[in-house]
Amino acid sequence: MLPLVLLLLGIFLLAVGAGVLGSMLGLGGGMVIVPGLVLLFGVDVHWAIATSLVSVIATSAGSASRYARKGLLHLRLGFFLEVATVVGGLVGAVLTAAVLIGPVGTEVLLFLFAVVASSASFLLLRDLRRGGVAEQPRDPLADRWRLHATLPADGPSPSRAFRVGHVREGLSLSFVAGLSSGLLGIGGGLYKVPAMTAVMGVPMKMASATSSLMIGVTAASGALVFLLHGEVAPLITAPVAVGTLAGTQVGTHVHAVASSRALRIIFLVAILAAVALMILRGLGVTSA
Amino acid sequence: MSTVAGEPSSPTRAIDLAQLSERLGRLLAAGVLASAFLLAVGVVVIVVLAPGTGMDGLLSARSRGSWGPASPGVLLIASGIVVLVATPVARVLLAARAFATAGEDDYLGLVLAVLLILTLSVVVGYWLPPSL
Repeated sequence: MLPLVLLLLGIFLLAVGAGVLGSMLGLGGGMVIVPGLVLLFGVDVHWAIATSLVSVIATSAGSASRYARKGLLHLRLGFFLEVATVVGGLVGAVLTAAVLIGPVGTEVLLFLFAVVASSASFLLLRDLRRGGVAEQPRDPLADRWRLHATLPADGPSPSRAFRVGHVREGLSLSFVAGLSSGLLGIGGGLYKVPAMTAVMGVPMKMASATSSLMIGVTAASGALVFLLHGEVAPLITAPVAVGTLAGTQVGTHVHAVASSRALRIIFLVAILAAVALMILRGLGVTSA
Repeated sequence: MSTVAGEPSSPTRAIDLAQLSERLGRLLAAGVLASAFLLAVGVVVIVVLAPGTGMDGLLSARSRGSWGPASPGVLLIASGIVVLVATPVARVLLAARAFATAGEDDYLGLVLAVLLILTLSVVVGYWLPPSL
């Protein structure tokens, strides 16, 4: 058995990596935290999910505070979509905390995680192949809620006005994002970012920054359920939250200067590896 | 954040989104710093004063019921978690105040709906039975 200090250090380092990736891509980091805690440290998946949700809040607050200063947050769109994500987050957390319990529930959660992670891989892969954001058709809902905006100038790139479209589809995907967040302890950014970029026409930098802001409230709706239901282990949550915060500081700096292509590829490989291991774990082939 | 040229313009009492964004950023940064401090000190206190053994020690303290006699380290960590979870809730409250001041009733309604759902999460989490 590893000494306490080494365990805490290992969990801290895992969380730093999750914070870097999560803040750079607006994903929250739960896709790394949950399989990391389950596969590397043998934590029960329910507790890993609860811990991860708290760390998602840390990622969100840490990165959104920086993006706010750079004017990259699309506040109206964030507040608009949050209504759908928090409802999803609450429903998902209730399902995990009270329905998907016991050995069967654990297996279901592991497989669900694998399915969601696989879909994340698909979305990331599609983003890698896709070029710029497509021009959106006029949407009366976007007009009504004043969702059209301007991406601020960034170095040599001038500011750019853009039109938001397909609002209903964006709301639906936001609910799915919230549901996956509460259910699996992830930020839900893997659905929110593509919903904003590919579906609604928001530029990538603004979408990932706005997703970073939104995932905090989404995760809070689930985290409050787990916290008050007694599913949060504070001694695991502490190194995870502090590590995530530290990683977030690095991730937001890199977000400003680097192309995220290489990181997306690394993230993709890591997710696929986690999917394979989670499936094997669910089948009882491996154990942490 | 300005509107696209040719699109319907915002109401005359439109909120200053740049200022709100800055305030939200400051609030989030303050919440993060406070919680990080409490969590980090709590971990150090636990390692120094009451080193457990392995993962079982880490899992022994949970958020309700089995925290047992509250040690200073666990209390600090619990406070840090509460501050962290409360930070996005405070950010929603700040936005509600800003939209109310600006007279943007539609967005005020949205933000209040989010607050209502977050309150519901507290109620559900407290009263939810271990299994349905």
